[in-house]
Amino acid sequence: MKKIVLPRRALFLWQLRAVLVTFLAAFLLTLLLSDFLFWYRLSLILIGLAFLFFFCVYYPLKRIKFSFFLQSGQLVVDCGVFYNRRRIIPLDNIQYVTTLRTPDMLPFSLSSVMIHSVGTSLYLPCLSLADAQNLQEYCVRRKKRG
Amino acid sequence: MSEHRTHPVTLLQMIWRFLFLLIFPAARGFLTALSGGNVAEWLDGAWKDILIIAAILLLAFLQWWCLRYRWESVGLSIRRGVLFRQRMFIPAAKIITMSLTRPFYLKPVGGVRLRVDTWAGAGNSTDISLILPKKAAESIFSKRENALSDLDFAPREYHPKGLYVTCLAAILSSSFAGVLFFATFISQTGSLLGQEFADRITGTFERLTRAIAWGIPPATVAVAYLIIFGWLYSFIRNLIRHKNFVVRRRKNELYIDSGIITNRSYSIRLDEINYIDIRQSLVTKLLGLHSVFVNAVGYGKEKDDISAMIPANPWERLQRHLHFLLPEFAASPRQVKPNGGAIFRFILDPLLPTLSIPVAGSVLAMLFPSWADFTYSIVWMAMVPCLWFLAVRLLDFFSSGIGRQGDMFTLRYSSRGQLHIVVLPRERISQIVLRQSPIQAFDRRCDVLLYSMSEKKTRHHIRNLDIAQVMEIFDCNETSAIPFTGDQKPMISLTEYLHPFPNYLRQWNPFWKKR
Repeated sequence: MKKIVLPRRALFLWQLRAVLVTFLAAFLLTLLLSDFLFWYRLSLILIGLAFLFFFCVYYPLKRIKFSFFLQSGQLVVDCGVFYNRRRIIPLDNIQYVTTLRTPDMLPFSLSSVMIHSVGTSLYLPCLSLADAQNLQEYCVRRKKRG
Repeated sequence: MSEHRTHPVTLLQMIWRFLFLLIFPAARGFLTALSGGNVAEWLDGAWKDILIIAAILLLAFLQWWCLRYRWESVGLSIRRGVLFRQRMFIPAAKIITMSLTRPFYLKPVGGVRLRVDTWAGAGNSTDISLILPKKAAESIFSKRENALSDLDFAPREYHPKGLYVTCLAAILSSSFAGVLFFATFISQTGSLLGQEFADRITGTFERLTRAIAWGIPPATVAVAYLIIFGWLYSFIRNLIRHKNFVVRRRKNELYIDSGIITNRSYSIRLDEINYIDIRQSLVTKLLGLHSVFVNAVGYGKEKDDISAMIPANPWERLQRHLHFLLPEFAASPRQVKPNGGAIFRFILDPLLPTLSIPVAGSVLAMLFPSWADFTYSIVWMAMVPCLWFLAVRLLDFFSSGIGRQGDMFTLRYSSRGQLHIVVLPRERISQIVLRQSPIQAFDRRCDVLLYSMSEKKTRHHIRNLDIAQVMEIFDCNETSAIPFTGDQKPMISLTEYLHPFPNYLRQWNPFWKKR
């Protein structure tokens, strides 16, 4: 199986979530802290910085550095943002695979995959729907054979 | 084969479950007293209390009456429940560990606790635990043993020397458990035997510490004695637990038996052993002793369980015993190891408290001069574990790494102040994580976090290894990728930082394949 990367729409979804969370936080701050000008401004600045960090650095890096592939009975996942991580799961030890779809993933045809192995689990976020289904089927079919 | 009931002492367990019903008699007595009623009024309604006690006894009896078990060659079936009937069947092939525990309080009534563990169920509780008559439990245990043995395979038995068992008890002892016991004992004495008796105990302890303080602040001496006595208590418990330690190997079974006051026997399926762990503490490292522990589902699961397989032994002798008992788990030499510059990665964690504690102590002594003696003595005591940790990490630096022979991996690392040599087969690896920090990226190194198959999350952490060697040893390279053949540049590029793993590939001859 070739190396699979996250689609661009996954990044768009994460950035959209960041925008929504930031707006919600700013709205609540305005509602609760607008009488305390110093703390209100400080909180807004901090939230703005956090938003910029996630929007411009964290999520793009997360998407760029994420990829996975299957080879010789192993699922190999490269991930991490500041730390680089390569996670390797032997396919024979996978117990079951679940796909997760939140409502905001539906319009983008995205799906997350949770792989449960003995004693550990692995989360693959926001794969394209086809990739997620292929991965789940591949693991299940392989398990059936074993 | 017919069904049998468990030992009648199980009734006490059942009664314990329904004791919460006593809240009703207690509430009735409390309300009678609150409303100004006298003893006669309370006695008038005593029949209600008797009815509740009778209900507790009846419910317990019914639960016990309906709890039945049957052992067949195919497995263990259990039937229980009065209104909600439950039937369980555990196939014999799925039972990984079966154990018999004969606690001292069950010996007079001839009861034995039989425990059965499989891959299923929660990580911290046994799948099945039954109290059975001794004869019945031993019959089930021996039938299982016979099923796992083979007449062609001569059983091998190992009786360790008393000295080595004592060493094992010393290795396993920790002050913490003992201190916890003494603290609970002293705090509960007042409520059990009266405040006067509790005051007498604490007074005696105070006088004793003052008498043998020899110029050291009494508070420091009290802490030190508490730690020493705590350790001694833990040591004696472990010694009793591991006395008469015997290991027997059959075709597909490892049998372990030990204990004098409480006897414990374990039967572990050999093909279900996850890994063996050869451990050394700082003291045993200096003495050149190693202990072998087994990780299998259900073995060493409960608080007082045995988890060792070979008590403290010198390396050559341990290798001999290990080859005798478990030749499948042979440790291989270190093939991937940290480079010389990695020493700071190892000693940074212990170095921080080792340097900061004396500085903090000096500052506190300057701020509170009247407490200076006490502060310095506490600093000295706190420095002991820090220096201990530092020494362990230094030893870890010189010994850590990964070895491979065929499909058997040997991991050398330190964790919780102990040095580990873990031998595990490839099929017992649940997940491998190669973790590289931004600093390690410049050095092209990584930490290996290996999760082994286990009921609980079990992690083995090996620090600062060459990433290309690690990928090669675990066969996790992209086979389609072009190997990096040229000399590596001193500085990594942005592309290499963003996608490090394919960039670290290079041609080299795998050392384990030469064998």
